[in-house]
Amino acid sequence: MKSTFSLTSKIFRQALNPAAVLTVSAFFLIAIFSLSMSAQNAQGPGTWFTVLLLVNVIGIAVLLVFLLASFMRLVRQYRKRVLGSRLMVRFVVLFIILTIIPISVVFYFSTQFLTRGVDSWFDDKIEQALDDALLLGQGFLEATKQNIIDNARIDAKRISSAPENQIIRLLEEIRRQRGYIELDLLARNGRAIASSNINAITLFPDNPAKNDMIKAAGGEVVAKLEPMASGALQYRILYPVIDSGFAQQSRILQIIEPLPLRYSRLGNSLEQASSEYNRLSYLRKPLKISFLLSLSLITMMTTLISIWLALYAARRLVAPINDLAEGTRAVAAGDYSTQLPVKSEDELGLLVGSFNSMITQVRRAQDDAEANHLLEQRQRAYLQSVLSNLSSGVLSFDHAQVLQTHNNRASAILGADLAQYSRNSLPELCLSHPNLKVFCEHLTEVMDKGRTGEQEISLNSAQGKQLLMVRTSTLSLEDHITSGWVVVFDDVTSLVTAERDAAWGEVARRLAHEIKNPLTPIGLSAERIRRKYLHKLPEDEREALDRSTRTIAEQVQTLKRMVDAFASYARSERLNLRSADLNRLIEDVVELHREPGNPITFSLQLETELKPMVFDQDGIRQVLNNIVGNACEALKDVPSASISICSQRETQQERSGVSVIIQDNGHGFEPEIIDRVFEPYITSKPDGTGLGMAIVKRITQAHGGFVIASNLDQGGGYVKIWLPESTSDTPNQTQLELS
Amino acid sequence: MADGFSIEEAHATFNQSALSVDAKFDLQLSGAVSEALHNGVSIQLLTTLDLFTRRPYIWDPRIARWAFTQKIRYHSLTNRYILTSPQHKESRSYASLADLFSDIEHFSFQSDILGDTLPESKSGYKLRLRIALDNTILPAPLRVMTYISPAWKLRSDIREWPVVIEP
Repeated sequence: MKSTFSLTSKIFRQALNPAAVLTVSAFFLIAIFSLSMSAQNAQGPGTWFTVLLLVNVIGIAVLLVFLLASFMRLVRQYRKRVLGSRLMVRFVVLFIILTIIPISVVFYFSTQFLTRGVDSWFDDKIEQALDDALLLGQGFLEATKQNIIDNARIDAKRISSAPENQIIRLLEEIRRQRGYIELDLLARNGRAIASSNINAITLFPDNPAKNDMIKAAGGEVVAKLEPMASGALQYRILYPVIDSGFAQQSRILQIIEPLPLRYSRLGNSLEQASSEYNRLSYLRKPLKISFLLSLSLITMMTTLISIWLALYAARRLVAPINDLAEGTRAVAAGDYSTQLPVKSEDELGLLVGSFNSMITQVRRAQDDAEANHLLEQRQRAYLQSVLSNLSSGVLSFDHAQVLQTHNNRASAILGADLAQYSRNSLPELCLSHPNLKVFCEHLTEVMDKGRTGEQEISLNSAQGKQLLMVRTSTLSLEDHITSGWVVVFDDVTSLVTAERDAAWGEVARRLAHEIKNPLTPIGLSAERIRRKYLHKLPEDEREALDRSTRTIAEQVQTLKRMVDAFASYARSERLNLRSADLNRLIEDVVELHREPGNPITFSLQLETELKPMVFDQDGIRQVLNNIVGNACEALKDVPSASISICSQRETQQERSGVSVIIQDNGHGFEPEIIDRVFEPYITSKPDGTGLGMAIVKRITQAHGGFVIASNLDQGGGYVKIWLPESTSDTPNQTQLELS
Repeated sequence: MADGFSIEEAHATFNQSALSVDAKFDLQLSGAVSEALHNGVSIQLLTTLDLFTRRPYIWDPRIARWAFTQKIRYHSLTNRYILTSPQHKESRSYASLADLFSDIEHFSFQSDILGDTLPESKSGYKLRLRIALDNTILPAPLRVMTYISPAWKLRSDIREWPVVIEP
């Protein structure tokens, strides 16, 4: 079916081939011309007329089929909105209108002229005159015939009374006398009895027709004027000769008398003219029909050929426009390799040529743009690579404070996937990440006021307090108009913490050194004073000395503990990493604090699937002791005091680890110190050194983990320690020291 | 009697040397043809006689054809009908069409031109006879009418009969 359709389409495409159009048009025009010539020769035999009529009808049928198929194809293309079909329909309709109107007008007036022209050939007066002339001729011939008949009556009487042996001589005499060309005496059966002919060598008489002979034998006078093959007219008279004898046997006298040549020519001329006129008059209606039929066929053929040529012309006219439209569509789709064929040198050809050169220029421009784009991409990749390898976070914003560029370090520092917020404004980033509120507000303020500079910002992250050093600068165009901002920031939390810890460690070390040295002599001196003078003093003064020396000794011990604590905080130790069971360590620490009479309830929820992990057992034990100890002290006056400890596997920043959460139902941390709870010498206890939580943080960070502290909404303290499952991927490793 | 042409009788004898055919036609002109004749249009009768070789399964090839034309015209000056037969090279006139047709209704044909050249045929031979109005000589305008009007389709049925070669 598809192949049939394609074959049909191919045939119709071929039908609009220029050579095919010209050849078929020429053939049908010749057929039309021949038909018109044949129709004009209306009185001749119509052999070729019929053939030409048939050729024209077949031609019309063929053209109709082709045109119908072409129109159906055009309608299908129009409905499918094929490119160029609408323009072609317009052209075809216009051409058809321009063709049909003049042809219709010519056809109408031609039929009028033709009908009236044929009618004008005939005139009643001429017809009447011909009829009268024919009647006159017939009357003349009838009179002549009657004269011959009268003579025949006389001659028959003479012959009937003549003796048999005189018949031939009598016939010869009468023939000569009357001027007949032949005079015969025939028996009733047609046999010649005697004959006389002007031509002496003629032996046999010119026998009459059988029917005429029968009539004459019956006694009837037969007289007729016979047209001869030569065109001459001759009378043939059969007159019965009644014998006077007893038997009364009848014989028949045959007279053959030619009409005089002059009359004969006149008669023939009259007969031919009358016959011709009658034939024409009779053929008037068929002639009109024939002419109208020919004219209609010619008109129809001409119209169809014109429509065919209109289709061909429209297709030729639309083809370059269609090419242009397709080329434009291809260009719109991004194909700049299109080059249209220049088929003519007219304005359309010029237009196609201009289109081709325009496309060439566009393609060059596109190639340049692609090269520039590639270069820009390379530069961008280079910049991105540089930014990615920076240890600082880098952000860039446009003039509308929309994030344009960021590097991975920025996402890592801020703890947000900034790729999701590319092309987003700062408030949208802030909404999604409330912990970045301070950061966003700072940037918004800087950008709004156009200030640049460096500032330290503190953020609360999941790992605790985070310190950022933010430097902001503007991006300027050549005309010094600000087009955006560049923000470079570093996470200085570790650095600040390390500096602070180092400072505090130095303080602790010096303090321990400066205080511990005089403590021993102070204590020994106080003991010596007590032993030497206690018993020497009067009773009333002895008590004062005892109380004073005892106080000195106690304060010295207190100061020693404090100095030991300072020394412990300032001491630099190696982590003794070994594989151990964290849950068991937790249970040991809890068991240590479960003293008899202690009202605090401990509840443990430990991870059952927890495998042994590598950590410094003594360090972590100290961490847990410090936290649990603090919690126990905080629960001294709290009824139904309880401490819950749970351990669970937890992944932080794609690192697997274990978190230990200790919470109590006490008073929690004092609000004024909660932000600085891990700093040295920050404590709410009257006799506390303020170094316990600082040590917790140092040991935890030495393991590559972190610790956070907060208060629960329902009351009570909350401390969470997170330790990596393995310290092998931490930079600290075993060389990390508690510095 | 209805208008039209028909073959009432037909007979043929055939021996090794000669073919003889006798037939009787019934010829009646239709009103349209008669009117055209009386208005000066000549008409022509065409009698065709075909000789075929009979074959059992495939078509029968024609081995000879004889065609006879008789032209009839009306002579208005003498009110007579003139019959011209090119074969007989003569022209005869008749007072009426009935007289004319009664003269030509008997068809007689004899031919010995085949002679020994007649191809042999085991299945024998057959003859076809037909008489018809020859429309090819009509004036061009009337030719169109002959395709439209049945009054101009005057032709007899084809009379076909086997021919037995007499020894």
